[in-house]
Amino acid sequence: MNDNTHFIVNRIPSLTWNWLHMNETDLKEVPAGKPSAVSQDIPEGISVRESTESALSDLKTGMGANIDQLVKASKTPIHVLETESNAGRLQNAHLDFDYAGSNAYTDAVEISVEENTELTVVINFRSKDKEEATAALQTRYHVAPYGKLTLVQINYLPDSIDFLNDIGGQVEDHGDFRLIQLILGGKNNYYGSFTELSGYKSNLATDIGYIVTGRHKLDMNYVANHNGRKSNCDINASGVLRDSADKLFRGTIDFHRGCGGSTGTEMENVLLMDENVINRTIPVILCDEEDVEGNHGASIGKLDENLMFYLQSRGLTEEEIYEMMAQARIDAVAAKIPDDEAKEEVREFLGEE
Amino acid sequence: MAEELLKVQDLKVSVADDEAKEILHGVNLTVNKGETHVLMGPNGAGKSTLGSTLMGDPRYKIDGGKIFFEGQDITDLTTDKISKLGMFISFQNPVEVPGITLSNFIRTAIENKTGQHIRLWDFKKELQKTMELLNMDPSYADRDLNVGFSGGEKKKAEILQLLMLKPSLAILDETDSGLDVDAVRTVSQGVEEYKKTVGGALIIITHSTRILESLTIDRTHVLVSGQIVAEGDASIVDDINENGFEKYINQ
Repeated sequence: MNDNTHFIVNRIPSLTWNWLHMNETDLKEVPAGKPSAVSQDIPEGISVRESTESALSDLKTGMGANIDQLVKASKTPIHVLETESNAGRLQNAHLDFDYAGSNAYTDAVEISVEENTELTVVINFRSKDKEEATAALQTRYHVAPYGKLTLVQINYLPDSIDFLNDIGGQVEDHGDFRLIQLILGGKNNYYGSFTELSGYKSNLATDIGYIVTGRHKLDMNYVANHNGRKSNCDINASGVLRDSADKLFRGTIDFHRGCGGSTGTEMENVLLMDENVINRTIPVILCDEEDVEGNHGASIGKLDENLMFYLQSRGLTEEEIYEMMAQARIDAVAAKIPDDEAKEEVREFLGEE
Repeated sequence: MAEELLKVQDLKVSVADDEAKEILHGVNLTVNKGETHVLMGPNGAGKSTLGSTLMGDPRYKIDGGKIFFEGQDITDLTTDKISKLGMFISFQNPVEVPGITLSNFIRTAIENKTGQHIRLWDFKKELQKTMELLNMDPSYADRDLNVGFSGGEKKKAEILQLLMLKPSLAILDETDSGLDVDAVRTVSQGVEEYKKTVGGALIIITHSTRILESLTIDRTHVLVSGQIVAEGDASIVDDINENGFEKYINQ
């Protein structure tokens, strides 16, 4: 629903009890914004253009149809990145979204990776502005057979910006989509990703690392939609909640009839650093096919007492251990970024050497 | 006169969440600086409980008695403070710590202990040298602490920490258990190196005697059912080696 009073995002595919208030999130009103300043570093072999028409608009996204309407209303041009077929492994593409000079931004990106081509796109979000603002980005992608797309998104935003980050795409036969997201800033963050695993042996790997502080919110909705036989997904969310942070993670693995031999795993690892944090999780595995294997696991809360004793016996205080383990969670996700420059910047941002 | 390092007086210990279960019933033990002590005893005697309690393990509750380290009463100190005073324990089953590399962890621990920043280059050189001594593949330095390490590599990583942290007292809890002959030899060499270069004291908790072969033992204690039932020189080790614990259990 998107009238003047509701703006619904991150609805889970299969609803649960309403009183849990986890089915969806109502942002009430999100202003359509202007495009942000985007700087690009695009290597050879990738064509870039701006378009007013979306070629991938049929693909569902994690946050849902309201973001489509927002993008349409904003009339923002879509940044389209396309590869050739059989191009092998391309050099990494970089996009920087800089939010400055407005109180509302709306952007859209589309990435198409053709057959036998491998591409990594690193997108950074930043702003020097201290003004309150809302920024939204919608990214759609298509991975052709035997193609591979790694999408890295790093959020360095100041805590004056509410951020909506919506992703949706399709992976065909033997295709591979890797999503690495680090959420290190922003005020309230809303993240959603929907992956249509339509291809035989199509694969999705998602790694999310986050730090939520103050009274900020992180609201997530990740869906792996298995239609292809022997498709696989791994969704890992790992993060740290401090102060009075409020986090809601929705993770759905949806095995549809015909996706026989498919496997899916979702894991969550959350470190609660303060008494007042709110941590909510709704892991869902939907099954309309017998020959599938779905797993979910969670490690939530305080550190294990054996671990504490071990680390304390080496002279570290409880507080130092929590800090170290919090850092380790983010480092472990950052280590997966296949881009040295991006990795280095994360390290600098976190104050490491 | 020998300088006293550790003094345990009439120590009574129970499990923290089950106070009815007393494990140690009045243990007395004195270790002087630089001495090597061996703590032997059958399974379930309380050896590991004693080691962990000395290190301030919150899973155990001290119901009576006192522990002094370098003259300071450490009975109520937390584990990190006891460690900073110079006590170390090598774990029987070291925990896996994902996300923290062995190298970073040791460096953090040293800097924390000394309160001083160590130059990365100097640290790496010393770490490499020490790993060589322990026949450890240098790639382990950049692997997450104990994650996916074999039993032998975990024990070597413990001795590596011992050599790098240079404590004045090291408690080795079954450091030789589950190791093959070569690994025991390597670990023993590490322990000898600690005695030679750091000159610290040792409490070696063990079932077997293989790790003791190359060490000069100052005193042996036999712990049975939470009490020290016999003490003496290294000849007790030989006696237990030949005849087992039976005569001590029946005391």
